[in-house]
Amino acid sequence: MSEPAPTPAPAATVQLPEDVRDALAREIQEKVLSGLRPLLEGLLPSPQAPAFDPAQLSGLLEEAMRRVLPAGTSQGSRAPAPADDAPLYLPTNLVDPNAKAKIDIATTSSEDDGLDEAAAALRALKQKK
Amino acid sequence: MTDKAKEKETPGVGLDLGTMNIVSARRTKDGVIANRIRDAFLVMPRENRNMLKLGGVNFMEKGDDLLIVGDAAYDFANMFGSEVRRPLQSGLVSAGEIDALEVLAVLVKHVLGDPKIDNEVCYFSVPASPVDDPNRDVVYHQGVLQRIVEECGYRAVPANEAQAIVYSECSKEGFSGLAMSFGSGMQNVALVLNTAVGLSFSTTKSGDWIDAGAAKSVGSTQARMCAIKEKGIDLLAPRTRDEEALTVYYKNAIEHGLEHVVREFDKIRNKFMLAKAIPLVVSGGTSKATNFLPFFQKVFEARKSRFPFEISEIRSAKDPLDAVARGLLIQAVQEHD
Repeated sequence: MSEPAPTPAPAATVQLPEDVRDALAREIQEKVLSGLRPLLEGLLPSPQAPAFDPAQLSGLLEEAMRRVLPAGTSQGSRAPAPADDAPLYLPTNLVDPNAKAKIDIATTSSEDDGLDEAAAALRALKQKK
Repeated sequence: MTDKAKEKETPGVGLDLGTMNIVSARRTKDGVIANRIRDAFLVMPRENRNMLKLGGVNFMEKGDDLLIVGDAAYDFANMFGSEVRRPLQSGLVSAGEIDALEVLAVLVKHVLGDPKIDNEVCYFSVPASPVDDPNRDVVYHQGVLQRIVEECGYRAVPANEAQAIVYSECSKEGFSGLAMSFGSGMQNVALVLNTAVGLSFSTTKSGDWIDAGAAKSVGSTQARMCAIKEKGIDLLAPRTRDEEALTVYYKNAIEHGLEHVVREFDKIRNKFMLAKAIPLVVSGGTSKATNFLPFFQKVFEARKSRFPFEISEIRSAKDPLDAVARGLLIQAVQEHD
């Protein structure tokens, strides 16, 4: 009896950070749209034919992307952050407690022109959420 | 600041770290106290120490050198025909300039002062990523500033610069608005709806870019253009060829910002609904030019039909230099109330 074929190893999956997924999704969408738009516009045969709105294609592609990408992917407005595991060196001991300095700061005082009201409004808004 | 004034301060501080100015804001029982210093320094030989001390000039000692800091740095630079150095370039710290970072740390420490209580919170400003220069590193900038503020003894919280302006200026609109902050190194923009940021970005077309572009077009220097601007330029009535050149670049910077609002909003159009008109608030030192607001309104009107959402009014921040720090302060006091 022949041995059963070995089962293939499961495909390796990489969990990308959400911001990176969003950035990739946007880039893929833009590239596909920019490539297809001239083709579709060139296919329009005559003035009598109903005009094709390339913007509709954008909606179709978005729907397709949603089916492909995991749930929770959203289009935020922030620029994509670098991958979480990217090393980042930050210098330390920048504040020297023994620094010799003679520095006078310009100081201005102003009346509370609505700061307390703004803080209260912000608090109320946050409590409502 | 008098001791009596200091006693009245309450916990929580906002810190605006800009290319040109560093500003902190604290709440007192009577109002708000703002501390400010110019974010610049000039290296001088050590033998000038006594002269600087006698003259009451702000300086610090670093190794074999003396560093004149703040406004005096510009005065001495003009006197000696030198260039000041700035710890921030186009709104961000530079990874290679460790000396400049140490100067920045000293300036921040003096502007902030010591914490009033243990674990006092400091909200500090961070720009959004620049849309026209994606290689600029905001992550490193934020990390370094966070470290500096923490080393000053505070609990550091980064916050979007333009969003802070909405907190400061748009409380009556439920903290909804479009803020455009025209700083020296960067123009920061944020669209905020009920405190939530819908979009935010920055561009490098702001004060320094205006000076450099105008200087190039008339064959002058950036420093001279900056001085003309600060002396007072009426954007609606430029009197000289230099002022005309500045006006052209001002217009271009505004158009550039508005154009990017349109482009960035287009990316979130399906996800972010604006049910009603919102105010557009302009702020930042570059917006202090005479007639900046009507000039801005004129540029906006020309593009109004293409703007993706309705603007209820265009107005200036009450204090364009302190608005960011004030908005950060509003957020900081929440942590301690």
